[in-house]
Amino acid sequence: MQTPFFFLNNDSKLLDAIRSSDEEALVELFRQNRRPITSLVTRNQGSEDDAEDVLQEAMVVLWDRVRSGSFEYQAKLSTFIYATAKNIWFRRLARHRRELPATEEALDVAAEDASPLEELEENERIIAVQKAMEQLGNPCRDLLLLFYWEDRSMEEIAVKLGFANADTVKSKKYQCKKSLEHLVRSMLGGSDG
Amino acid sequence: MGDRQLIHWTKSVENIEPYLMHRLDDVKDQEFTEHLQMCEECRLRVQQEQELIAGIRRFGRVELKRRLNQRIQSEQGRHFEWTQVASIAAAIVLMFAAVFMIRWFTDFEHDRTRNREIVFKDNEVSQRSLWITGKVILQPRTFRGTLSDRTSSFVIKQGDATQTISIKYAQLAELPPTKRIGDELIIPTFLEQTSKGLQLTLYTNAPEQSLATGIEAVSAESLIVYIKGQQIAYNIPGGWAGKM
Repeated sequence: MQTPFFFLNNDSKLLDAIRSSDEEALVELFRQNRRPITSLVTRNQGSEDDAEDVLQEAMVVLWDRVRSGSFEYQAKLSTFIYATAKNIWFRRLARHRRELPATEEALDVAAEDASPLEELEENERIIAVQKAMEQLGNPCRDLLLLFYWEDRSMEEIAVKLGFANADTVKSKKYQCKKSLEHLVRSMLGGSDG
Repeated sequence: MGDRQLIHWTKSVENIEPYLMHRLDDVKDQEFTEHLQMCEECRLRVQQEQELIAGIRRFGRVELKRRLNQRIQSEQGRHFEWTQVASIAAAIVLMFAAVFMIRWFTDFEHDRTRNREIVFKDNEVSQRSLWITGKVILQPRTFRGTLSDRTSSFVIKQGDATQTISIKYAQLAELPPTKRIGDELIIPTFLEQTSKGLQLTLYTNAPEQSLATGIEAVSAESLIVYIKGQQIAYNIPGGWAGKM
């Protein structure tokens, strides 16, 4: 079914905003989708807080997909968000039923991408890296995020973080990565090589 | 095939990153994948790099969610404040309305000479008379005019026209029964043309002595009568200056 122009236009603006790292787009999408997601979650044993959390995670998945270029615009954004939130919530319910520890379902949903990176199962080292990132100071933290998460080029990062040029960024990135690995090793008790 | 196995691109992280981040062209991507199938050491290196990048991305997602949550909470806070302000404003308005209504009806019960509205129809009494409409305006004013016997006379001007209006008080009991409107308590007012000019008859259950009175023209078709500190504005269809 063809998407009505109004929605296309509105969605298109929001997608453009996400592509240009405008987080306000997520807030707007949150507002627009709050009611149906709250209805979905509360009808399925969840609370309003659960609904809010699930919707936020769905927003993160959307952001991730759009920023990585893996988002395919086939239906209205609200349809994607609803399906993603539903998926997250039912996974969470299933986990609870199996009495498994709660994890970041959004990451699991994001991991449905077919890329080698995101096919990864959660493991101790990934969590250690995440925690090490919390300890890593700036500009390393921003630099690594821009490069590995936002997929920015060295040139873009140089401009954004005020480095002289792409080569400087490259050199700095190498140092930052080493610092991160060092932190991860200390967290894992030096067992990681 | 043998050459590809010997490439060992994976020895340098510079080679692994483009593979993991989908920055290799299809041919090189395939070569890399094939090489991994044969090189266990390479697979281990790739896995370590994968985990590192996955951890960084996970941190990015968690941070984004945290920022998003902060913005939403802050917006909800603002929304909550506005809602509160609106609620308080609504409560104040309701409170004032309630006080007004209570005063209104209390006064009404207490002093039946005040009535919200007086509605009469044209020429119900005679051809030369006119029942008019009036409305109490709750605003104290200085009284004017004199009270003698049961009639007060006023000469009022509106433009070039001059009109003498006298106000006559009559007890409510004297009001012809036909002028009661149902069970509603009213201040009946009757305006008629007499040889002495317009005469406005107020039917009231208050003692005449308590009725300090004034009268003034507001426009060609309206006038205000002051009774006991209250104003009653009258609209006179056809005008107060004559032609009744």
